[in-house]
Amino acid sequence: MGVYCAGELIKRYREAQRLTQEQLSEGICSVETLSRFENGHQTPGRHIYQQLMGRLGKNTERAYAVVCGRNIKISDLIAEYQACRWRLEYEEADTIIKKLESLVDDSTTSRQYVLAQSAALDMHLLRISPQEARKQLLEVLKLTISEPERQDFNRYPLMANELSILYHIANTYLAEDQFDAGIKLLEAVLQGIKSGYRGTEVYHYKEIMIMERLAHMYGRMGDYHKAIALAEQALSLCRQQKCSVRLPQLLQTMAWSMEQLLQQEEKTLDFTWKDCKKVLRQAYCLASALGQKHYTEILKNRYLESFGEEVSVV
Amino acid sequence: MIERSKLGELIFFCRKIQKVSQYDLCSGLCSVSTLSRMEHGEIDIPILLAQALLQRLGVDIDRFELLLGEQEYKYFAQRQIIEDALHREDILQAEQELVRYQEMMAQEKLHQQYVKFLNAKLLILKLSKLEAQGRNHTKKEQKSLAASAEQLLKEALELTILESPKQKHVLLSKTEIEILMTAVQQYGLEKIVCVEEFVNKYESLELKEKIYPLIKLQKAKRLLDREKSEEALAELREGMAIAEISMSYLYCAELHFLYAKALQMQWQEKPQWKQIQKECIEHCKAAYYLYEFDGDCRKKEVEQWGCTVLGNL
Repeated sequence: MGVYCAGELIKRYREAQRLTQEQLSEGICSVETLSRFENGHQTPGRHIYQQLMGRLGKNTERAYAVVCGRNIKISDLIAEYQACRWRLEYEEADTIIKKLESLVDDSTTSRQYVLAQSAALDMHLLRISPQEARKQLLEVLKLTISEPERQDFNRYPLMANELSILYHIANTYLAEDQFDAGIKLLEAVLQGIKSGYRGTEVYHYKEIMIMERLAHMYGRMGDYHKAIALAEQALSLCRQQKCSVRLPQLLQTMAWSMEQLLQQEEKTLDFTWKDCKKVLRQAYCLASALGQKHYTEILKNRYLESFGEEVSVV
Repeated sequence: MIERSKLGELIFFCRKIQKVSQYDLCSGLCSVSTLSRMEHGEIDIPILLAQALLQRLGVDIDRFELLLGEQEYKYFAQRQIIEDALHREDILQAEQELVRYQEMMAQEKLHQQYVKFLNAKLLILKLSKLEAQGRNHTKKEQKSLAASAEQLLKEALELTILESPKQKHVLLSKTEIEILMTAVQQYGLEKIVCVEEFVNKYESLELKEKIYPLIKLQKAKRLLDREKSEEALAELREGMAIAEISMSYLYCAELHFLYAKALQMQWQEKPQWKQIQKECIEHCKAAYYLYEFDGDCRKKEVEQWGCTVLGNL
């Protein structure tokens, strides 16, 4: 669940829009009261809260769905869609998102969700170029964030939809080998979600997913040490949260970076080819144990390519 | 501006779709008239109550973004701190944070339920640590810990579930399910059927992927105890299928290992065993590698068991 602290959100939105406390509170409440809200010393009543958020151009409801609709089938479809994405079955995911498009209501959040997912899928299915996908994703982002190019995501309180759009945008950079841009974006987002305006477990999953992408990009860019360190950090978070999201992928990134370093024959490494092999084998075994069939095959081939032998498990 | 709480509307909407009566939904949580007023947006719903009501309707609020006031946010943040400490098995910190939670809390049912449940979990964790030490003179202590934990779980449940509910199917919140499942794991109570019935009631239950694997695991254990290996295999297959799409690997290793054991029980005496044996080893490997990643010492147990199966090859 995305749980956000209202006072903290008001403050961050206000700062992002470069408003002073005086400007925001004028005609709604006193500056002192706003200050008390922002510091968490006082909870705004519903009426005032709605007015403040309204002035900030934000959703005025205390709770709203990432996607809502008048049809309970939507819930099932989204679960199914996420499972497909999860298993890397993009064609099936595409069919479902088409169905969703006709079913969801036209609230901003719902539209934003469906449009962002479609753009990301279109890129995966090579229907549009990464550049085109990025353009579409930015447009979708503008539904809730004005001038995203100017925002500092280190500080900006991102909602679940916005977070996933930025994640996909980073992927478009990755697809074009623009590692610098992708890394810069994700580092900021990671800093942002760590800085404490949201709570509970969902955010750990997001954190792990972002760290996986970052490790991957650092590796591709040639900073193998950084890639390994990040992957290790993410893996220990996985262990702590018993989280299987992107687990084999993280291990693969780690094995790949280790492989590159070993090939460079750096003298100071604290691991050997044997360790590297072990990590890739672990990736393979976990992918298989977690039922990620598609990815298991990929890892099997990678192992064969890297080590010239079948992955053998004893 | 029409002031209507979206949360109340949402509960009303879900309740209608699921065809659940107000009476069944709020049983043990609040009065029908209170629920009615909340659905109409006449009064604000305390956030924890809203959460429990929605969960009883099969909707976890994972999909919702909740903006909370500082006070409400504090509850959530504090719960997270306690649960993180439990995750790390840091008993001391968990205890301290739980005391802090109690101090900031009003004497409200759902808070009390949570506190009792977490206290029970703490006792169970202590118990498992004592068992791991395996010293004899602690036997008495263990017994009393187990008894207190059981009592706490019972009290926690009774806060929101009537002893003899009038409705046919009991609706359950996530905490209620967790309490029941903890009780099942610890004391083998036959409460599992009522949890499974609830989980099956809602096709799209968002909690399903979190709870189903555990239900299936526990059912399979009971079935294996009674040597019903074929039925156990079916339960485990279902459990694994759901675990595969879940975001957590929490019960995966146990499911795989139990599946291997059930396969052996089912096929060992039959001519096909030679072929089945391979599948059996595959599941052993899966369990082994999951435990290895997790740093779980049950890895050794799987290894030993796997060797004995291999030995007969």
